Amino acid sequence: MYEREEEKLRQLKSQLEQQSLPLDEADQMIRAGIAKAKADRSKKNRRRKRIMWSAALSAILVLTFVTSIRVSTAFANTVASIPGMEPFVAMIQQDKGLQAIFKEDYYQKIGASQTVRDFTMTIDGVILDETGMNVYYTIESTKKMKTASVNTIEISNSRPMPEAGISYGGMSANDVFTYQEVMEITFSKRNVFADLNFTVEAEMDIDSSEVVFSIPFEVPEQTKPSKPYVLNKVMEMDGQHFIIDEVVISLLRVGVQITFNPNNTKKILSFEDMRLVDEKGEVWSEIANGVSAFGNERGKTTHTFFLQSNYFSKPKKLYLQINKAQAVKQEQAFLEVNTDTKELLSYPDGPQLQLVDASRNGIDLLLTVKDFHHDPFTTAIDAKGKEITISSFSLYGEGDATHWGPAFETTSYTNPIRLELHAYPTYIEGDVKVEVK
Amino acid sequence: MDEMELSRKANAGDEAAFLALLQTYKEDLLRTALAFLKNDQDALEALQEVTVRAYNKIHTVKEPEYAKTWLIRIMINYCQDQLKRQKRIHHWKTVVDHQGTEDVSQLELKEALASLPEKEQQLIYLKYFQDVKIKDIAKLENIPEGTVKSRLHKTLRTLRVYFEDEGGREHV
Repeated sequence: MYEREEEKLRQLKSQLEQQSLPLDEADQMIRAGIAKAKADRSKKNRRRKRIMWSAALSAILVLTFVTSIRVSTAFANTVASIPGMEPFVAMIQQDKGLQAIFKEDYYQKIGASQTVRDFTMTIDGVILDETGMNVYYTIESTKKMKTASVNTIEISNSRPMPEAGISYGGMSANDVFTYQEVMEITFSKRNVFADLNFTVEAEMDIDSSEVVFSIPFEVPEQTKPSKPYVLNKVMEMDGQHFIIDEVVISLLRVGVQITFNPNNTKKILSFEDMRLVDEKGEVWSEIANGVSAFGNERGKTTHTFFLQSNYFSKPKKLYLQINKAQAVKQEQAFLEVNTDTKELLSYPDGPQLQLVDASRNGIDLLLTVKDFHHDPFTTAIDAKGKEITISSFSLYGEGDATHWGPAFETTSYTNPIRLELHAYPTYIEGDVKVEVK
Repeated sequence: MDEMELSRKANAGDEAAFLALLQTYKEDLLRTALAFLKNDQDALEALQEVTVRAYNKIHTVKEPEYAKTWLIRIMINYCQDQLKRQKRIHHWKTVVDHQGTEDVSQLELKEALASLPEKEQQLIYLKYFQDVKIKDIAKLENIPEGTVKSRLHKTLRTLRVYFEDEGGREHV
């Protein structure tokens, strides 16, 4: 029926087939395409968590990529029924303690906002307890935001704020009009505010402009008191000794204070499977994202590790159990790097660690372990004993390996530098079980 | 390794297989680009961009035997996007930017394709230039074979009018 048209098309086809092709350059373009795709992908995965410390305080972080979280519909519905909370579902999903806070209505809605030029920041709500405060906020723009990140974010009160670590997401926006983030403040010691008026000051880098917000708000209700359980139990794991001093159950988290024996041959860095188990066998485990421990200052042997809160459950019995800990030999609990010669001089026995790149501003390490979502660094010490602040840390996966990228606040230091380790994928095992109540 | 095997491995995340797969089909991909775009340079850029898109989506390919057609379709979509963009840019640049870089060799084909709506461009290209079977197009588009046939007829009718006009002009 359309023979003539089909014939014409065949003609055009054979003309096209006779045309010479730039085949020599083609392979190069394919390789470039693969490289580009991989670079884009790692950029996407690189959801940075940054943390700021008050003087002399060190915090250990666990970082999970939000994209890897599966959201259960039942829970999503509970949270999504709170106006404005839909976007936070993914952030909350992984933490049973946080889920309970929302179900029990201890999320306090705020709704204070400020508009600067095209941009509006809204403090959506907070969760406050004696161990910290989560501040949920939204950034909106009249135009699409290609990139947006927090430059600095601080919170103040009429009285001085307690010593705290603040963690917040890094790069957030990606061609959107609005995005949500949470600022997680973790106090180093339990704290009750006399005055519930706060001000959040945030400096955001949105596309190429800097936007400064200052938003005062009042938290409507005082926090629920924490429940401390003093234990003072001496425990042993693979020949290493420590005392479980106390377990404090608060709204946002459970704090487990542990004192290590200074004569241990190995330095225990963290307890990856530390968990609370009730009489029915239900488990509350390590905080999946954010500050997981405090107190790893040099020389100190008392640390606080955090678990997801079980504040609202009323178990008859509660046990603390540990079977696995990250540990390295005492004398190997650090990395030594020369950032001028780009050499990794020392690292613990165990998986391969490579120095991919180094400059005075920071280093890029490649650990041959998949998905090791821990931030192992708090500070660095230079050859003369001077402390170098780690201003930011990036972590992202690449195939079967993990990249660690600490950045230094200063370039004036003397090589080589030493980075104390607070996480490392080498383990000891044992069977620790203590009755909490 | 045959093409099916490559496609299956690439689909499972094997980078070397993905590279080999793209190399296997690079001629078809470049030729497709040249059916729509101006010149070799644009076609090479298109190949790079199609590699990026394919790399990000290769895990979604359910049937390895369609990997080639899948890649060709990504290429056509990319080319169509480019043409739309160029149209917009042309609005701004008007006639001033009439560079001599255009390769006129496939002008007739480009113009014929341009006379069709985007979906029909793809259909004609797959059927007559890549020799994809009607049955396979139906499967890819998830529509009955009869629908593919009637769309083809409709498209050929449009082309008839186009070719006749062209022919008419030539005789003037």
